Amino acid sequence: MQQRDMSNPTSWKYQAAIHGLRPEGQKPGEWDQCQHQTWFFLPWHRGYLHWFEDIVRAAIAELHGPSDWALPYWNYSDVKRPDALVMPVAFRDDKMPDGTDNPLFLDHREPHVNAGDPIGPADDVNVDALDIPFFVAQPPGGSGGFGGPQTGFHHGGGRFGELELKPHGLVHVDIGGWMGDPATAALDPIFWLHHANIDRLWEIWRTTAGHDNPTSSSWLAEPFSLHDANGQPVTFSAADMLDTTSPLLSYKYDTLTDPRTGVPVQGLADGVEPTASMSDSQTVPEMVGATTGSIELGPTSTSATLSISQPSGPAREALLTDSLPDPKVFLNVANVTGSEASTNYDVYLNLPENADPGADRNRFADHHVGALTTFGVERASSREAEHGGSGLHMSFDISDLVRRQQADRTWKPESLRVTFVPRKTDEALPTVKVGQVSLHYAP
Amino acid sequence: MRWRRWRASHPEWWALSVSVSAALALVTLVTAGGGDAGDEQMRMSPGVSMPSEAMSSMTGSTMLTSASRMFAMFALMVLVMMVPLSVAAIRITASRSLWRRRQRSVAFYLGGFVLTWAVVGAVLVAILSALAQEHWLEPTPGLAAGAFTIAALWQLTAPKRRALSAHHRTRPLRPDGLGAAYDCVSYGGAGGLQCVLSCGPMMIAMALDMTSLVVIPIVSLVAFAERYSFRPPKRTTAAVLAALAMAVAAS
Repeated sequence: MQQRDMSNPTSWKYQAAIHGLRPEGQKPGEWDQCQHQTWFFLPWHRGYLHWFEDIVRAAIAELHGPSDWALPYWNYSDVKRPDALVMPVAFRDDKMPDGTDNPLFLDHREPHVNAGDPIGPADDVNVDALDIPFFVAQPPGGSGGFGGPQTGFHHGGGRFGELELKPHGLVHVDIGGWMGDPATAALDPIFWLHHANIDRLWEIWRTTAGHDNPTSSSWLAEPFSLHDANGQPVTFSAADMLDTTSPLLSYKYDTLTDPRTGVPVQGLADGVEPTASMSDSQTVPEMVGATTGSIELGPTSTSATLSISQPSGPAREALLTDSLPDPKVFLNVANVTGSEASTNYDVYLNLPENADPGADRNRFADHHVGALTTFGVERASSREAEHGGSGLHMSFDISDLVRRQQADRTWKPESLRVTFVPRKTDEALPTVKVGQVSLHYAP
Repeated sequence: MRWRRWRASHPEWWALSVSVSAALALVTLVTAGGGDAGDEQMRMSPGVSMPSEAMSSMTGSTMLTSASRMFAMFALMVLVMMVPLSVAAIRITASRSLWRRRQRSVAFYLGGFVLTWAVVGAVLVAILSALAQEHWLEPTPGLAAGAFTIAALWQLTAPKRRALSAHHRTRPLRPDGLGAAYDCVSYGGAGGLQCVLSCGPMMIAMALDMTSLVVIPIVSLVAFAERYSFRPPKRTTAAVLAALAMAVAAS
């Protein structure tokens, strides 16, 4: 496949260009289609994986390999394997056993990744997104939902869904090189194993009691185009991607255990309908404070402060009414722009003075909000890109962190300090700009 | 309680109410032949598409009245057709505002947006009036058809694509004080400017042909289709506008 000409839809480069390429906008309708920061993220990538697998299987059969080859997945969140965060060795060795070049190896990746070190901190592959009961994002300011915000066909820029942010986006940037940019990511063979795992996580979420995919026709019917193993165009929609055992997809994961516990998910009994809503659009997050200027992130820690006021809308009602649960609290990082996704940034809230979490992350775990990923930041920042120019937005559920800080009296509403700590400290690190940090209560 | 929650979820509700009211006013104005029962000239043509002889025979005050009416109709068209295109921006503005000043922020955003269009409308009306008075402009169906043709060609250009894309952008808004008001007005103004660049040619064509209310929903559909598409169907929208040009020329 890697030797085939790029004009051949079954070539490696053509397949990668379907996800994205530079410069953008070539062959509209065929290339540059990847769906990011949208509720089509999961179904589009499932279709992309399916027909890629179809093409690879045909190529393997041509070479007299097994005709039932299937795409493997990389379960980096598996708590039972200490080396789960290490990239599989088949992708790290630069030579094959016979001394020829390994086509699965790329030297563009972060050096520590190819050296066999964990790709990043364990928190980067945390899959707490599996606990979010609704698929579609809440209105701006609230949760990104398990599957992302409702949009039309959307190539990138805007709000991340929770699974797309973590582990998906963080893993992309942790591996680095071509994987760090949607325009080149699918050129790296590990891309396919990463996305197969994301697809499996969707299946784990879907089969968990109380979870359900959207049922809206605007989600089910949006058409997408790809090519099959014969290079012929195929069209599909999310409606075709719901059941992995359907005649079209025809696959089943070997295990659907929760990676955090190793325990199979608790599905619904036969005939029982899911009870949770597929969306939580009725929630109205209330903004209670925000920074007043942009924040430039460089090779050292950068902090910004914001003060918050008492909620006066729906959140106030929830706080004052005993019968209502306390509102969730979200820290929003909005309009993140930059020229390159060079590293992820850890985000902390109310770090003690002179703290250096870069030296000892675990010590400041109680202040850790999450990690800001820059995956897709170049496209999201480009004013030439369709829907680009606004940057990336992500929200972090900090409800537990706020309760802890309120309990130990480090919570100071009049002066909350948000600190961004880069994972890399190179002087040449490209600047990333955060447009605004804000705090929202979502009752 | 339910109504309050619905309003909270849809901060654009009153902006769309303004659009609906403007639509009713526009229909009334057009079907009433210009709204001034005693003005035969205006009844001949409620917009700017009046015979040049009629235009030139007007007194200064009549011309001023005509220009005011033209501007009023243009402003109504903007409220009817352009404000609904800003729903996403209105929601973002509301979500980035403190609750107590949420609707104020939306009002500031719309103020900036409409003000930009108003400036464009005022300049357009002034130019058209001056040209008509000097007999340099023949407001014939051919003129409106030409404007629709230009609007159709504009759909296919790179500046149009960039302006349309820019209309989707968001920006940080300061949470409180004068800075918050300034940011909202500025965000609305920027949105209005991109909207003018994107939809200006079709709105000018509309202004030159206000004789048929049928054109308004057609052009509105074109604007909606391209505003809410990832890869706007530029050939289709250009074809629709070209067809309108032919229909206007044949009328």
